[in-house]
Amino acid sequence: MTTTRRRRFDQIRDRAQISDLVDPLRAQFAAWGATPSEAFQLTLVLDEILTNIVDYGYPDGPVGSVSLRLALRRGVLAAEVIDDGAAFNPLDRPPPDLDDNVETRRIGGLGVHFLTTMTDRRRYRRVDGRNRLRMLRRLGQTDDDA
Amino acid sequence: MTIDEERQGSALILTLTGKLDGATCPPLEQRFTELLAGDVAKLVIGLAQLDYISSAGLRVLLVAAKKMKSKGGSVALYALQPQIFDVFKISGFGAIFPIHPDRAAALA
Repeated sequence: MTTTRRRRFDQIRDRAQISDLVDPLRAQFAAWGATPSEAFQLTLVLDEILTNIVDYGYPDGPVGSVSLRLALRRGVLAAEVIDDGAAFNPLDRPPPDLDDNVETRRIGGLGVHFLTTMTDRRRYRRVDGRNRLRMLRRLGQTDDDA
Repeated sequence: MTIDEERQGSALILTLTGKLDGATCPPLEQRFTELLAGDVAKLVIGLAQLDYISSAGLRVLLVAAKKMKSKGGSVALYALQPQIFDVFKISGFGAIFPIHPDRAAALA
């Protein structure tokens, strides 16, 4: 039996709204079979991507159309973030500074680092003036003791 | 997120409860700015009740640690939840901050 379950969120506009949106995602992912670690990490990745879009995707005006689509199929979570902001391919970014010295460590790049380390597969496309970032992660794989 | 404070000598113990993300980090950033202008030499931050952190929250902690370091002080963390500890490891923050199992160890 293969059922696909979906959730969709539209009109994402600011950090407060992102905070409210991603908060219940942890429980949603857990209900879909994610371990506590996977639920946390997937929530974090989506938070980072959405926050980046509202912070930097619309430098010349109000935040436009930003949406998140989630689907669960055969134990794999597919998440797609779609926005009509400035073209930005997070998969093209250089790796972040992971310097362990507090004085010299630079700030930034962590959101993309979380995206690449906390998802199994990622794909970016720019289509019809929109960024479409799709990521996959198989659920129920980590061995949590939480 | 709520911030509880307790003074012990020249150390200040902050206990954070809730979520530290892009929407909730400004009050903590503001409090750090006030504290760093004062005479606190050691900042000890308890995270047992913190159940979420994003890079926005990590940034606020890093900025505070940099400022404390530049004035000769220190920042220590204790009692991180497992998922938050993982985020610290993946981001390299586990090597930037002293991380202790409990308050007594963090204050020692």
